[in-house]
Amino acid sequence: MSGLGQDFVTLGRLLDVAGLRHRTIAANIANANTPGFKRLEVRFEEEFGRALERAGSAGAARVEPRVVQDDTPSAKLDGNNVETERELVDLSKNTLVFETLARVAAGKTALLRAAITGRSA
Amino acid sequence: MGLDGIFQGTQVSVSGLRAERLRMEVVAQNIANAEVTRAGPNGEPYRRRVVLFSQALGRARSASPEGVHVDGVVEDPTPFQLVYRPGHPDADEKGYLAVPNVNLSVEMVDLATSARAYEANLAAIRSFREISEHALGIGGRS
Repeated sequence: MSGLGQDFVTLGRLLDVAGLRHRTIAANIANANTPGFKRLEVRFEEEFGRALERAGSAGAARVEPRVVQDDTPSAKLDGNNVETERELVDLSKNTLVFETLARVAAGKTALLRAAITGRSA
Repeated sequence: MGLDGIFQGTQVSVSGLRAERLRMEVVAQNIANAEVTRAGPNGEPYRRRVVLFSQALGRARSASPEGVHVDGVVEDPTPFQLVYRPGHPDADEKGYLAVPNVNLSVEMVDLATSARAYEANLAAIRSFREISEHALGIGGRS
């Protein structure tokens, strides 16, 4: 039972990170014409995965997502390195990631409900 | 983050929509005034205006995903062009007329860029809506 609770915590964090990434991509798109703006990126999964392998879910719970600046040189004269196409692709990818996580969470909720009520769905 | 964070996320895209719309309005103003030789109190020709964008800054974190901020609308200091038009009432004694520093092709490029950026922000808002719906589905009986 505690396993299911931990799963919810992990799923919640992954959903949070997906939400933060969505917002970050939206900020990049909003600043597509801002001179000197450098695109932002959310770094989380790699570190989270490493912590999960090393210290289990308790250790991984301490990993925080980081918003970092991507300083890749720009092809544009104004120094802005946002490519709107790329951001839109990332946006739809992130939508899918969010949907997947939400579906898994919904499945687990249904399981929990079945366990509580003794009836399946 | 939760749903609240998602709604804040739409604010980021809304700031983009507002900024791009303002830019389109300023472009429209530039095009409309492209031939105006008497603007303002000193009787100068119309001066092209540009919108200044900067990154909206978050509370404490340096790299926090906030929207775009409109710093203001400023005049383009590029000198006026002089065209020889001796019959014009605003021409100088040599027959030269100062015309606005508006270049129509530049304005059209700005307009197209703005319109595309506006659409991209709209797409971002739509996807915020999509993920909110998925988030709402978590607790539901599926």
